[in-house]
Amino acid sequence: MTFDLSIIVPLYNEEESIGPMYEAIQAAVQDLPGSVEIVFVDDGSRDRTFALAGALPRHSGNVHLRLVKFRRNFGQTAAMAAGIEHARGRILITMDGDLQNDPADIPLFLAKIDEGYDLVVGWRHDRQDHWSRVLPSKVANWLIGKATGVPIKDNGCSLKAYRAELIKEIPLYAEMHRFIPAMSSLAGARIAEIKVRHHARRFGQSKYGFSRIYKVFLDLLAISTILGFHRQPMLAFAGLAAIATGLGFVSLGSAIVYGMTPHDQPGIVFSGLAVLFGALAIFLMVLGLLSQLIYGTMARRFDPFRRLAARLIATEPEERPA
Amino acid sequence: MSTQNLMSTENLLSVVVPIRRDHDSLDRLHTTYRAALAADGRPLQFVYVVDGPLQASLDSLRRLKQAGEPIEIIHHAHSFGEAAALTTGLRHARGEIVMTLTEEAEVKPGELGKLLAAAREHDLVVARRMPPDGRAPGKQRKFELATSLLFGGRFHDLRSGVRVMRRAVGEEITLYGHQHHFLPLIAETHGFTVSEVEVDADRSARRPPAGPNLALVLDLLTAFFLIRFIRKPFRFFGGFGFAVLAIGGLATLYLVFARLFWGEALVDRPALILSSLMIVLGIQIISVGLIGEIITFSFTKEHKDYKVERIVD
Repeated sequence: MTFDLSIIVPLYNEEESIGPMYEAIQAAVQDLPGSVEIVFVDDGSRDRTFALAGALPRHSGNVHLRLVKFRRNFGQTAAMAAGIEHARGRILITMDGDLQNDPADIPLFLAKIDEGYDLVVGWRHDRQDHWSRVLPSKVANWLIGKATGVPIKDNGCSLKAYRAELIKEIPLYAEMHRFIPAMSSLAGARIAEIKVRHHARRFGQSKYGFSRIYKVFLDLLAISTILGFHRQPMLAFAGLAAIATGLGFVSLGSAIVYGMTPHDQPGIVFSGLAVLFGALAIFLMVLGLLSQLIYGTMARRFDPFRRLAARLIATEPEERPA
Repeated sequence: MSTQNLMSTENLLSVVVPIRRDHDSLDRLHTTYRAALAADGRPLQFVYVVDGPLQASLDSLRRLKQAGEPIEIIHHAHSFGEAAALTTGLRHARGEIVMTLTEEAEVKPGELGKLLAAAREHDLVVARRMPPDGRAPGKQRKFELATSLLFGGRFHDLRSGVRVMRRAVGEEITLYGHQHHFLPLIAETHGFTVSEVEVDADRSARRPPAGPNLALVLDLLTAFFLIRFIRKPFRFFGGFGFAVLAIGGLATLYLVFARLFWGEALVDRPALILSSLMIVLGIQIISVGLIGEIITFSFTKEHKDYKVERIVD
């Protein structure tokens, strides 16, 4: 069974929102041509979210409802990843379950996909959140754009549309949903960004805070290393090792120069430093070999990216018949 | 729940006993366990996993099997450790409910019924051995203290080998090394419900000494890392590495500054070497963390972050 469109909504303790949410999605998609599947992922809610979701109609017009229930709370990224895994549509849309995204924007995303884009990212240009939430997010987006070379204004916006064959290949773990555009760019995806409506939270509490910047920073460093190193892991580590070697030689030179003067005490300190940096250089080279080994054994992990890139170029908008 | 009893295997109780030392006779142990569990009225399947070349134990079990006892004997050709023996046993259990027991009775046999009763409401039930005199041995208390500091004190007796679980738990979780000590914590991360039940410890049999303190500390460290950071190794290594790097960097800057502007000598003390060493160490920890993250990234599709309970269409 396949659908033309799947709409994936992670839900965590959203008993007040789920009814209005379903109705809003229903209203937005009922006039679309083709079949639609709504995938609600219950992320281990402790309230009546799942019971209420179960009471919703399974089939209604062109809309089919699929519920995925987690054993416990595994987090938003995991819920999205599960929704993506169990969705059966050709085009996938993800959105928040707290009514902050507006399902009425869905047709705009579909139009962009029809234009030939592979990934359409929402931008909450008029964000209805407290500054303590908006500011960290701005910093994070700027950092992500700089580091990954994919300047997206709003990586945190859950409202996104993807071609299924693209998003199903992207590894999502921990809190990596922020880096979907960056990882997609590796697959040569054409990315569009459109403005979306954003509503203030009607029910419940926001689940984020300032500690995010530090986490985003570490995640970002990790993901940009993985994506940046994958072509030449050895070269990247060798670059770092070269810096260490350079410092080692400077220290060694100083040690020799001091050794030739009557004041030879500093020579001892400098030769200590030379040994230290030399050891670091060797350690980094060994790690480079290790990373080469891992990338070698996981080469097939990057196969889908290569395949997608090869396919995606053939569907660039310019080449499509008008 | 009553419909489940229609099928006989769903009523079957599997008992997994890892055997790690050579016993002249296991008759008494087996008879005690069987008698205690027969009271429950379920059909029984005993799975003895003999971990290594333990000839006397094997012979004893063979004799029991020949005498018609409901026993399955699995023999590891050489010793793989308790966690591996448990995993082997759990994979061979056919019952809907599986109990793990130890080669020395750890709890009073009469108490096993309590655990079975609790297993109706939870996916995994672990026994907390309550010593008759109310005082646990010193080593056990130290271990309890450390676990409660690291994991929040929901479980008091992680080293207890007496547990009851639904078969799904044993089928899903693969234990290695010393992870059997952390089965309750691992099961929770998989989304199973876990409960601890207090039972009277058996004073008559002493478990062999639990190994050196170092092994316990390493166990705890491993479990802490695996449970908290397995999906995001760089959060652990990166945070730690950057902290070390920052301290080393600041100390080095200070030393260089003090040397250049205040003329503080560096040659008669190891300060500069130590601060540079911290920078080097920081870089090394960060690099190792990146390697860890590359591994996690590679295996995401094989080891999913989440466990789906059910899908409704």
